[in-house]
Amino acid sequence: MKKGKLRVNERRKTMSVYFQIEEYHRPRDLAQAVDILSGFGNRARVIAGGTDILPRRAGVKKIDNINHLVDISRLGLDYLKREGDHIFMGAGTTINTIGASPLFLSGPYGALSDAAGAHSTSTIRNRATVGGNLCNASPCADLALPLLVLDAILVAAGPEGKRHIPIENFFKGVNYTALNNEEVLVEIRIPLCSEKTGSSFLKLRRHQTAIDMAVVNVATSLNCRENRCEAAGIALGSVAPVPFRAKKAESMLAGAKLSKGIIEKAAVAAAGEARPIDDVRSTSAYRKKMIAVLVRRSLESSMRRCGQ
Amino acid sequence: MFESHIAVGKSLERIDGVEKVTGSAKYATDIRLENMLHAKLIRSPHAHAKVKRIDTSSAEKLPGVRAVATILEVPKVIEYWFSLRTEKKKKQMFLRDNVVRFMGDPVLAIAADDQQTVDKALSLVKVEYEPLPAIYDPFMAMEETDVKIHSRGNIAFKVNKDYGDIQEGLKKADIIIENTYRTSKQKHAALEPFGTCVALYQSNGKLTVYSSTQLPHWSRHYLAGALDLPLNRVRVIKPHTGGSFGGRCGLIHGLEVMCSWLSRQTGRPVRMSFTREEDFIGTETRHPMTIRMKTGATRDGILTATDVDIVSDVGGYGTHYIGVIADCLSTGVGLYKTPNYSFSARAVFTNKSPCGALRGYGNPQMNFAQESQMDIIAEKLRMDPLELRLKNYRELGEIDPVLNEKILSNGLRECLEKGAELSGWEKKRHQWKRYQRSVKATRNRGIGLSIMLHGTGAGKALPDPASATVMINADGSVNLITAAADEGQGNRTVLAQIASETLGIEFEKISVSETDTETTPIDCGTHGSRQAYSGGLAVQAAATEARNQIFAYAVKELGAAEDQLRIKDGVIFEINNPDNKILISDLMRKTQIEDMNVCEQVIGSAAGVAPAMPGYYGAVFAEVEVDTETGEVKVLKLTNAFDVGRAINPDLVKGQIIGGGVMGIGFALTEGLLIEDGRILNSNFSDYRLLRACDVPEIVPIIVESDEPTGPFGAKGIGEGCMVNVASAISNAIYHATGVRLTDLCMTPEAILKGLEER
Ligand SMILES: Cc1cc2nc3c(=O)[nH]c(=O)nc-3n(C[C@H](O)[C@H](O)[C@H](O)COP(=O)(O)OP(=O)(O)OC[C@H]3O[C@@H](n4cnc5c(N)ncnc54)[C@H](O)[C@@H]3O)c2cc1C
Repeated sequence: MKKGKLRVNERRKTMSVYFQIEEYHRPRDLAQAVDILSGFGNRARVIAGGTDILPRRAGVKKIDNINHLVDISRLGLDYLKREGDHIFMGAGTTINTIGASPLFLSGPYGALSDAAGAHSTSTIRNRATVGGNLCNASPCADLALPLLVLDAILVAAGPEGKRHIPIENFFKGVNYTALNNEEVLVEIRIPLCSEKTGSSFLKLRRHQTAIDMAVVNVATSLNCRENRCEAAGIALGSVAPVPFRAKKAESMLAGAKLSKGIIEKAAVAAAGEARPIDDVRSTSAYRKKMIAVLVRRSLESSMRRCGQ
Repeated sequence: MFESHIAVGKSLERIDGVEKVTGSAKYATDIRLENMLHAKLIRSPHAHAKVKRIDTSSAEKLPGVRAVATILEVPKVIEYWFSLRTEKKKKQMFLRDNVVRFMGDPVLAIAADDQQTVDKALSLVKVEYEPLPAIYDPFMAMEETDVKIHSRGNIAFKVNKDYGDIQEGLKKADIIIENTYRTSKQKHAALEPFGTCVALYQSNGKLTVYSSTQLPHWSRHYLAGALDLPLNRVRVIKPHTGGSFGGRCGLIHGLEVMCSWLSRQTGRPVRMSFTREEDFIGTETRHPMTIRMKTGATRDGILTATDVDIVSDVGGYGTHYIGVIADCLSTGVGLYKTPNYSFSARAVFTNKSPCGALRGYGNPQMNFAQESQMDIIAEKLRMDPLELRLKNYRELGEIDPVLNEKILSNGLRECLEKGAELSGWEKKRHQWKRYQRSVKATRNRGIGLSIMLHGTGAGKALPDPASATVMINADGSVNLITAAADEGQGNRTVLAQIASETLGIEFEKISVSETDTETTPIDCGTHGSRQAYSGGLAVQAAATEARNQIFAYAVKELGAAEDQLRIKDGVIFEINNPDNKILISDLMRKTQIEDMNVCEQVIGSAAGVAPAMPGYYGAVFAEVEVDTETGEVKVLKLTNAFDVGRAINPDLVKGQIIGGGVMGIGFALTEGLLIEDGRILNSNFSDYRLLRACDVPEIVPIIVESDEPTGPFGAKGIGEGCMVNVASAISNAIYHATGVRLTDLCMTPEAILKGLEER
């Protein structure tokens, strides 16, 4: 057996629909991971927590042609720290670690702990990672939204070394990102915000079951000084092919004196920027209405969190 | 009420508890036989089509492929056991043709040495279809007579029944309410998917089938009929089962008969196991219904008339479609003493997955309509909904007009009173209403109630046999032989308790047989909330018979008159002379072994049908919070009181009440298959929403005991009724919170919001 590789034996192969793959790789360092990914091209995929890729392989929405999985759990990507003017988050950090971290309890980063708490259920959150949530690029990925309003920078590593991708340029389509096949997302950097910032996240599920995916999810952030908004962030999920920032609505708030009226207006404007679809989960008309409600509620909550 | 309680009324540990929690209990999926083949189905991609040609030649050339069976030769079972009554009807139970009637309808199965070969072989099969026009809407199916889903037409069953004079009744009414209600295609979603089966046809002409059926003996009949075998050549063994909820009330569409057929061709055991997705798309569901209901009442809140018309969507095949409608009738007419009741219903075929039995049968659908109507009437008359129920429910001593049976026990009033007290009904009803008027709140609370009646067993409508044998061993231990199928609810434990109590022998000394048609006498199976009652009566009679035999020996042994003898804790003694006694074990050893002139074992047997179909009752009080901007509903609490006659095992009854509550919330708010052009869109648990443990609110179970005189120790049923009226109570609570009346299940936030906007 080659070093760093776990060969799936014949028996295992026949046992489960989940693991009909040729090889399961567990590289010991980043360079090896990138090597393996480069070697197999689009037949290989990273596996982190596996909570997206395994159900998809099982056939709910099958991804074809992938027969190499590259496990990144040994690459030391599970960390959270605050240093200089950034918070650094390893791509392999689990959702539960983020939810439990004191770093995100305070006002400016509250949206992150809200989102981590709203993501699936505790059992899933113990495995699911933030990197997987972003790289899977689902329109309703919960963690994408707080990271969008916090202007996170994503660090990818590939054969040519590392590069930085602003999160706004990361999502390209449903299940499609700016990463190349041979790249691994290694880190998420969150620029520190001023104390006068508050952020929050809200999610509406089709039914009230905890595990339900979002019908609409939103994150907002506000930076205010004595009731005057200096900057605002509004990110919308599940209402377009990718999670995105509602820039027009944000600009209505920037520089304005915050009031019930302006918040309501911005919320309605945000709904206007969405392009929701009808699907199993909901109709587009309902989604549009709900964006306005959720954005308003989230902005109110972000405002309360300013300076906390 | 009872003089001795050694087992009845106690929450004794279930007899299979240790096996289950330690993982040693064997389920159908655990069964592996030597030389076993694996089989899988090809299912139709069309909702309605003729199979023109099946080409399996390349598949059959694949090494390891052993047999192919197609719908051209393997019959489908399309009726239930009512049809077993006559040879003519029995023939119509089995359908063999070349038509597929829903997307997912089995076309053929292949058996091979291993699963991979099966998969490969299936990919080599070519099936040529001639698509036929498909109908998904039962109303269109009734009109569209050019497209016949079955040769006899699209209306599977039609019925009109009148009690009293509906026109007179409506004339007497001061208010008349008319609405149309629609209910969803709920799936059982049992923890153990439907279905897994292993079939073995041996060269001696005997078929053995391992299947998690609720009805082992009727399943034996169905298999014998489908394969044309004598009954004594078919053996059905039911292993432990992970929940059924009605979906295993017979055979699973495309499972056991296919497997048996393949086994007969090969002489080897054949295993087939559906995936969860196959369970969702290919096995039975609840009948979706459209119920138009007109209800009349006087100003004082006395019901004068109910006029109902039901269209029940059967799907591509029906099994229980008649029974389900009969249940709408009996529960609808039975609950209230409405003097004039007009009932009409049609069960209609459509090109969707087949419908069958699901906990509550037709009652949850009917109850949703009827109890919504009652809430509307109470509102219109400015009457407490609780008072309206008390004024109209059919009381003790009255005759149920459908069953023509006198009501001998009825704890409904106590259910309502206890539930109202424990939920704080009156206070919440008033305070929350005032709160909603006074503030422009975005989170409104509401409390609603509903009641229900459900029959125990089916003796008046269907053949409903029960039997049991009790054998006393030489050491005083007891074998209870019964075919009662335990789906996980614990009815084998309950039957052991009844045996123990009747015999006066400790519960620990009773052991219950495996559920195996070869070694147990006939039993209708576990359906219709009947096992504690009907099965219990059989066990009680068999145990009484055994006890009489024990006494006969004891009379000789102790020289005391029989009426002077008592049994307690395994000892028989003379009541006025307790020192004159003998251990049952000593007595049994003596008569069985020691005394070579006797050598007789005490065996008590009983068989027959229960004397009645007693109704059991329940009241549900639901508390909800509605977000008036998003339409989200949160169920805060359920207070569920049920009259079970007598709780043989109170913990098991509470388990049912809580579980029924959870299933009822699902029916109300989250569940139901979504179908677009015949395709089921939510055939997995990320899209089909069941409540998770963390979604379940507080459910307060209240047991009311009304002592049913015909029941064993006063018991009647609980299994189904506890889910029946949960949805209606929740809907009534939503109305209380928001003023929005919802008529369609499940009630989505979107629908609630729409209602709020139109308010
Ligand atoms: C029952 C259930 C409930 C769920 N509920 C939610 C929910 O409420 N909200 C929500 O947002 N999501 C939910 N999900 C989806 C999923 O759990 C999340 O998206 C999760 O965060 C994915 O992380 P993971 O580590 O498991 O990803 P994986 O499945 O391991 O990977 C997902 C994708 O990202 C790629 N990938 C992962 N890590 C990297 C990396 N470092 N570099 C490059 N590519 C990478 C993989 O190749 C794969 O394509 C749910 C999933 C399940 C099964």
